[in-house]
Amino acid sequence: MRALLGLTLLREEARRLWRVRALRMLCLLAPLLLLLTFLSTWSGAARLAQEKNGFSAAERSRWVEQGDKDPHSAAHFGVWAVKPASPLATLAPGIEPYVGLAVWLEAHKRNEMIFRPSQEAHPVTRGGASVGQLLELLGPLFALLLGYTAFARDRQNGSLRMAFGNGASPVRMLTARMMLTGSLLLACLVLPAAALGAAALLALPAGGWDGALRLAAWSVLQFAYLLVFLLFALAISLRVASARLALALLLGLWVVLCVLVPRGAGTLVQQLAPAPSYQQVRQHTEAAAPAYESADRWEARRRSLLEQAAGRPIDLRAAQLDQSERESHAVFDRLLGSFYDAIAYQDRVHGWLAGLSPTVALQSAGAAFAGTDFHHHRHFIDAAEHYRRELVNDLNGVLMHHAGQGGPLVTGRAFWESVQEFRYRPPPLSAAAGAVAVSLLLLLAWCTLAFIAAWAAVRGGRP
Amino acid sequence: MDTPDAVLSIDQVVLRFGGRPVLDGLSLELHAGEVFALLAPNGAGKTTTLNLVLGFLSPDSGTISVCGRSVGADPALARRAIAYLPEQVALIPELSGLENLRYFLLLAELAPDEASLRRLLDEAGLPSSAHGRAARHYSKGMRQKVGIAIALARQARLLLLDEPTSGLDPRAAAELTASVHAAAARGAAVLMVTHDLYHIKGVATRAGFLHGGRIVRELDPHQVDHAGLERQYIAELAR
Repeated sequence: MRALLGLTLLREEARRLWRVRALRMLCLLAPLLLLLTFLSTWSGAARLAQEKNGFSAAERSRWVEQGDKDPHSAAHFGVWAVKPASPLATLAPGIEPYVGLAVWLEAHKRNEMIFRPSQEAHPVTRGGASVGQLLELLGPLFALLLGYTAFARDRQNGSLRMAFGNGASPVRMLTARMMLTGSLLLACLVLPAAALGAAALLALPAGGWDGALRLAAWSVLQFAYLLVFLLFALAISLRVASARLALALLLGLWVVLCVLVPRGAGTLVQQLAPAPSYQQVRQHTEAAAPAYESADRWEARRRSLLEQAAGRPIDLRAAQLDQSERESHAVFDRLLGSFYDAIAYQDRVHGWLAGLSPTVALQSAGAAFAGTDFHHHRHFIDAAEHYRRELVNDLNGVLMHHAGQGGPLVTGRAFWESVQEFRYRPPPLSAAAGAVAVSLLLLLAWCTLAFIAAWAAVRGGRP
Repeated sequence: MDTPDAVLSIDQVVLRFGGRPVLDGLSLELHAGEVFALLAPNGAGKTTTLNLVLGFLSPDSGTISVCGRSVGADPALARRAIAYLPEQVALIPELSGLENLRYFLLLAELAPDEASLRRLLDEAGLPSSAHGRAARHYSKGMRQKVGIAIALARQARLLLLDEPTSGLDPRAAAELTASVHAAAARGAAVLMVTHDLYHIKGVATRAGFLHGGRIVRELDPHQVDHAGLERQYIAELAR
């Protein structure tokens, strides 16, 4: 019976809200804005996915049909590793526009990724917002606009006094209004965004991503984020004397939590966990592991290898190439690895700063769930580098095994076909969630805090 | 002072605003079927008394209980036994009178069918043609009638009326009087604050003058005529 009454009350609350014209317009405009934003990024994402597919196929043909040659020459012939974009990058691009889409894999060198979407984008579309950014910045405003009048307007016109004086349970009123405004958040923002994400999943190549699961988690995350602001809005609406004062306070809260703190957090991360510049790191790497060694170094290596061979047949060139290649791995791991570790540490520090604002938590966890954060980028970089090392080592190994068999080794199409193609498998959602566990926990803490604020406000609330 | 069968018990309540005592040892007990009219000049603490009973204000000292439930301990629980008609009835402007009645009753966990709701509005004196009109177009009297319907529909043990005839036409005031009688007859206690001496004479079983933050004199309105009641009221105003 109570449940039935609750449902009837919800229906009446919905009727009440629906009669407010401004709110009705807001509820119709919000999903429309999301759709327009999505469409503005959609054509670019679809074109890019098509280009990547074509490029990957052409790249395999180029490798297979490179002709007869020495295996080490093939290591220099190189191969492109293309990063399969997460379909959810259309919703939450994260760092994707600023990092490359492909990396050139070749002997001796660990190249950086190139073809950055932000460079490729038409000047008119540069800096355009995504659905995720819209939810991150304007979603809280929508939640605040839904919540600020919930009680303050009734207090201002006296109907709250009328309701409380006639046996209305404040907790019941809060629950009904929270459920209704929460449902509006779902219906006007979260579900439309999820539907757009589902469209992206259906239309774009899956690329090995666990897209559906990630979309579900991303949507829940967005809802939790928006719920924080809705609960704060209800709490303040319960406490202050007028709707205007509630709006002023909530706009102030929005500016601090959604604009100032997230911007400040970026600067604070640079102070707390400074990372060396990438240019510096590349310079040190080039110096420590040059692609082409000096003649003296080359000669010293030749002598050392001859001593080690102790008269056994040896392809000195192959052994020299193999040894210098393996030595470069240690340099790459030490210099580039520590640079990437520093960036990952910055991400972790940024995650801790989610304690200062739920927006920081969303920025961190949203990109992780969409597969567009640095954790995923590095996962690809490491996978591509792992493939490069195996490829070059295998090609050098073929040369070394040929030692003593007489004549130069030349390999052809059959051999190139036997070389495994680079296939990238993105990390599962669980790994992504683990990497941003702190942000997720802090967002949960924000939800709890907002809920406690609303609960305390309604317990002590007076009309 | 709190007797077990008291519907409302106010015991030695003191309330100060900015150090100035508004209520200073106010005590009052109401039993089922009693209609008490609290008389006082403006600013003497009549509405404040209602706010204390509703738990909207907390006394500095003293206790208030409704049907044995302490207002201070759990105001929301105490209010479940109260129906309240404020002087300025505020409705949800976007909803019609009928929808307002349904909405406020739902908040109090009551869900009468539409026929009952219409009957309640009719009994309160709201014309049928106004049932479906948005409350923002209502006059003060029409809002008052919806407020009366809300308060009476709840069939609460304690009815608090703040200047209940304010804004009502004579016919609606007479209907209100009948409704209050009916509520008292089914066992409700009624506390009303008013200046309407004519109405008191017709509806109240007890009346008390609030002065200096306490009830200084109580009388039976049926024992004095209108002129006598008015004389005593003016004399109390002049104290």
